Amino acid sequence: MKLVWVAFLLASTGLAAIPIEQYNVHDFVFTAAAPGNPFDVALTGEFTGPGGVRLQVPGFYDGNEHWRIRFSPTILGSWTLRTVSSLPALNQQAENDISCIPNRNPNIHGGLGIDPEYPHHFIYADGTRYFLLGYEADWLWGADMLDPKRKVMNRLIEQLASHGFNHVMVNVYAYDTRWAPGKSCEWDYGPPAVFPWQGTNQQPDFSRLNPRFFQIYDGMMEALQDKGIVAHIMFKVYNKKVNWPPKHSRDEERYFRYVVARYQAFSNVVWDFSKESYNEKDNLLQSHLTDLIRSTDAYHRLTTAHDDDVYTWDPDLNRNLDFRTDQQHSDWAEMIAFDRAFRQYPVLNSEFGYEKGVEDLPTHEHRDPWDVQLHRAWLVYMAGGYGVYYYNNTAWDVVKPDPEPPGMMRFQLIKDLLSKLPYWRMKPANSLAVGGSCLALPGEVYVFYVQGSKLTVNLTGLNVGSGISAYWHDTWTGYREKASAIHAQVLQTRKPDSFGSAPGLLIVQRIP
Amino acid sequence: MQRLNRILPLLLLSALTANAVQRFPGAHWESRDPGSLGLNGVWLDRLADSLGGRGCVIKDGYIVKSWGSQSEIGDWLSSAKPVLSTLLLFAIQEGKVASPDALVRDFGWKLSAKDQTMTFRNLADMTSGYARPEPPGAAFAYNDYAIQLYQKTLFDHVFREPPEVVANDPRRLGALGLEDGLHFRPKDRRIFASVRDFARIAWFWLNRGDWNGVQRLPESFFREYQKPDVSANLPFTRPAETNDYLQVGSYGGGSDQHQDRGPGIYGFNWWFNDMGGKLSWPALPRDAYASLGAKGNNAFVIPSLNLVLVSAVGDWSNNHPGEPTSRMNTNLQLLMQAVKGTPAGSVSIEQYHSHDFSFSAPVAGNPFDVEFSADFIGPNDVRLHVPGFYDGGGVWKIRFSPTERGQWSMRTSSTSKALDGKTEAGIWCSRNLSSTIHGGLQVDPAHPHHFIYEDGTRYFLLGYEADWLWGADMLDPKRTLMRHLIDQIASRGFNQVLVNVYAYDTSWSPGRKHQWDWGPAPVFPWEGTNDKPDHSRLNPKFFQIYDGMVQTLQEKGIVAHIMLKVYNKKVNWPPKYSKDEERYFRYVVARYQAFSNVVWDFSKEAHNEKDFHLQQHLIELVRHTDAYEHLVTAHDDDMFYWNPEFNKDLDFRTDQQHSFWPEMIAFDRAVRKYPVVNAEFGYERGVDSFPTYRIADDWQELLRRAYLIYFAGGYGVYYYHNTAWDVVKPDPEPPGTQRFELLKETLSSLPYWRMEPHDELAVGGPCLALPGEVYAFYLEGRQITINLTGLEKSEKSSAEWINTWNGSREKATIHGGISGLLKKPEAFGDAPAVLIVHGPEVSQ
Repeated sequence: MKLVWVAFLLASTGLAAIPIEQYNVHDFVFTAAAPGNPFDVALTGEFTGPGGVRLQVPGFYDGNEHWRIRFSPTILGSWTLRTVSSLPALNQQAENDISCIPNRNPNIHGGLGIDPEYPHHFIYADGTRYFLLGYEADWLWGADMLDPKRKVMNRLIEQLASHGFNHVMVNVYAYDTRWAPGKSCEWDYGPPAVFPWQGTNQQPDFSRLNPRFFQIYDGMMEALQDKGIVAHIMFKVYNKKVNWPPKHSRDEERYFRYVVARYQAFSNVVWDFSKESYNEKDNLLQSHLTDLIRSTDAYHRLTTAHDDDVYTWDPDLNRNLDFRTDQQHSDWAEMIAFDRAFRQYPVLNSEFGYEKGVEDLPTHEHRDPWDVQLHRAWLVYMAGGYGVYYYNNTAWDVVKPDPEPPGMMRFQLIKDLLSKLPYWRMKPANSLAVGGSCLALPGEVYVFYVQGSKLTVNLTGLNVGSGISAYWHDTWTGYREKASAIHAQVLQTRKPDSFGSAPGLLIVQRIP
Repeated sequence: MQRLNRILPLLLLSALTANAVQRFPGAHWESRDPGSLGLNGVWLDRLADSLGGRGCVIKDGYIVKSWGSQSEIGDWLSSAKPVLSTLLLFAIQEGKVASPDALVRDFGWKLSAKDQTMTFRNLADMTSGYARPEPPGAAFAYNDYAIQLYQKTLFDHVFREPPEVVANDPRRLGALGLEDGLHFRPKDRRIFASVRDFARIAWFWLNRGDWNGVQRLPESFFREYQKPDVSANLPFTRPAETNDYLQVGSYGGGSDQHQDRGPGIYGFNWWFNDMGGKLSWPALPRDAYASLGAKGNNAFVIPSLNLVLVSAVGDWSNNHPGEPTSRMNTNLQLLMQAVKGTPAGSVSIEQYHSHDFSFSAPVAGNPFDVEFSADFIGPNDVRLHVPGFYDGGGVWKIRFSPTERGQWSMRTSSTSKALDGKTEAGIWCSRNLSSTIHGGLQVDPAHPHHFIYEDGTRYFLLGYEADWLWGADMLDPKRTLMRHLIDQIASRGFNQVLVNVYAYDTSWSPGRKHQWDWGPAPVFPWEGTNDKPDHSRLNPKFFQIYDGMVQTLQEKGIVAHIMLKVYNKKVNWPPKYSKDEERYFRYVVARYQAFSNVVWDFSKEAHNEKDFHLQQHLIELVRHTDAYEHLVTAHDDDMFYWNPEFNKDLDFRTDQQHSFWPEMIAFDRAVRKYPVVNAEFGYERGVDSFPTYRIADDWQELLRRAYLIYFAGGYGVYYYHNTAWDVVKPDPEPPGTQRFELLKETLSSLPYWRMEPHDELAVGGPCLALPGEVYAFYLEGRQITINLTGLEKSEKSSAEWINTWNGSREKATIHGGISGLLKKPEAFGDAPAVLIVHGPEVSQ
């Protein structure tokens, strides 16, 4: 976004090609006076790229008679832009010399997609694999909103990026929580200082959005993209006291369209209809709004709907969902297996426990010890799913990242251990173990997660005599210990005594 | 053949003699003793036993043997086709059709250009080409579309009357005095008739149109048409779709049913014995012919013997012309044994039942070391080498059970002259009449995680541990207690008993603690005592008592899972690697292999045998000694099972697993494709308190573990404290048995052998399913989410909840797709439930 202003200048003076790094965001800014509601002005940028690739990118009004078309090029080479608008001053603007140059940010890999070869797994547009490790930070946009430096927000983003989290569940907006109503303490950022529409939550003017709110939100998006973190943007939330536009109204559609127009160009976006979507009982409305997102989004970012079993399992509705985002508080492994069997797509359990705060703040009443949440996460991952970490003191309006919670580094360990393996080719193979769960690519690599001490394994297909490596990993400390001799294909073994009650992970691999 | 050639002139003479005074039935067939007409009735009995169904043999106009209902009206399938040809002959005689070579197109059919030359003869010879690519006469096709064209032409265009009227007309087949009449099924006009009436038609054929002195059809017709009418060189039809352009439909089969028989032996719908040189049925005289229908509906006519054989739904198998060992020919051999008067042996044994051949000989040296065996040769050259055993008192026995029905012979071999070379030629294996005996237990090759009986009956294993069953009330000649326990468990559907050959005493109930404590047992399997054994000699008395147990179990349809050893029950076993040890193993196998209800288990808790090579050697000894190849297993021996070097000797897995119930079943099923049994997963406490094993579980806990095992695709064994070991007190009946029975009833009513664990189709409990067809879910909690996407969303499925504690049932309707959070019926309370969902096709 630093380039924006310069690019704008270059574009308006027509001196040279506008260079944009592949997958990076660039705003084309247009100025015009709008009669009536500027949020209802239709503006589209028609981009044509190498090989005749065309993208129809919707613009949005950003206040002060400024409209923006936010674009990120998907293919290296020359692009052109021509605008189409209901407002003559915005219509038929052209930019014929846009150059997509190589991306220089190693954290950016283009949009997130589903790997067609391994449809239970994601893959980036540039072919980089994506081992999802999620983090719930619904209020990330709203922590210290008025601080121009966004110190708290940036601290949290840095902290979770440093632990390998690459997927943040975040709301577009929420007003307040039941457990910390009003400003209950210094770290309580709800209700937020800025409202996404004109007016207030109590007296909103849903016909006009508030560009200032979204300009602040832009900063969060940039910071996440810069760190290689996907923003899992949830358009709605039903139980956080938001005064939403009336259902089936033009205001409702305008809101959905605006958010998509503003953030689709960020390659690190996936869309989620709503936090706890099951609260929307009107499935046809939900389907309509999800289709609206998809038809507005030039980039076809992935779409999901958090915790909506009925919608997800209905074949007449679920075609507009690309992956499953569930909230499941029991049967952790079973539900992943169930959803994987139901449809070939990635499955996330994005809410399976609540790690209690290091400091006691007013948060959700469920407070699990970190080891309980960690165990559930392991079950989710070993079943072939992905998980989202939840820490009470950063999940909602109470945002206090420090001191760092004990679960974080252990979640990082999940990713460190599993993402090094060809996890996308591995499948749950619980029939190969008694005493724990198993994820395997039989004959090549096996992972066993063991809570107790005894484990029986079936390594049929592996030449156990030589050429294998076998290590136990302590899921609490990361301590690694070579496994005692693997002398047979079917054998009983024991977790190292030194692990104590920490569950162990046994990884057996063929040395290539 | 030579012998047949010698007797044939005699037979012909007798036929001619008989013809002079040929008899025809009046209102009813008259019966005669077969002996009075020169037949050996024993062989006719065996023929009837072998065929089953319904049938009769007519000799010289008399019934000499009948079996099954003679008046029941049944479907004769293709055997009725020659009856159609007989009606064609009537039509010719009546001038309705000029000759067999009249053109079918002249009878109102718009035949295709290719079929214009089709004649009645073509239809009767299966050479019409109708619905086939060839023109008439160019190829043979066993063609049920052409048969429809044939019968429709006859009834609708030639006679122009309903088939019943045409056929039963007193000028036609009605003249034979049919007792029950000919009936035609409306949809395809297949002929339904009784055995006794079909015998009249066959007798009419044998007499070439003569019935009781009146020539109803010219004899010349039979001379001309009753012979192979299809050239042996005629090709078979080539592969092509059926083109039923007249939309006549099918008589039952396709337009090209087999490509291995017809030319040279078929004509006017009859099948002929004379293949030119060879014979279709080598057992029969050359002039024999037959009407053959599917499902064993056949009639054989043998003019030279003045004899017909009529059989409905008999066990014939297919016609394999020229094959002497075909089931059809071996059945006909029995008929010919009766004709030839071959002496019948005295030994008759039902299939799968055991029979002892006893031989006395002087005892010199150790009688247990006398080598003694018998070689049996049965039908189809089946050979069994059966070891004998010494049973005391100078008597040796060969215990044999025939595996195939039919004629067997035996010849003994022995190191003792008195036992060597004994023969028995006429051992007859008759039909098994017991509904509980189905032959040996096997692993189903098509579904290798499941068992199947030798006769194809399915076997849903429900096990019962009764290690001391042989030893309860051992000295009571009536074995009242043992029989009561067997009755009790049989009544609950248990069909496999885990039982030791011998055990001495338990650690928890040492000595005879009370009246229900049967250890130590009063009889010892060797000479001497457990403290001072003579392992060189076994004790026949012990095994005679044991015989009674195995026999009783067999009668009840219960498999005896015999464990040859047990390591922790204080038995003084023969030394390892000794001759005594091998003698013991060999003796037990020799003595019990002939019981079809036996499976061998190396040892209770076989893991106690640390010497794998010894264990392997002894298992191979068992397998090598056993002529019947009964299944072999080894209770609770993980390391032996999981070692590919050793586990090839084991046919199924018998485990003892006290946790990870479903996980271990899944694991073992993944290690190898064989049935997996968890034989010890809990211990139901006694109703009366006795000194028994220290761990005692509630029946509810034992039951839920069992469900987890079965839902993982395994099988389980019930354990009740007061009957498992030396304390044996079956009453009062423990609460678990009736719930285990319910488990079997619930799951065995499903196609369980085709169902697989599909836990990914449910959240809230395990699932066993044949997706798209049937699903079973087990839930302990209150609700379950299930995936029925194998069924159409709109399809309503019949579903039923079953209470696993009391068997109460509640019907439900569930749609295809996913059903979230289905609630278990409130009335079930804490009882876990099974939910069964049937897809529409198989809904009950």
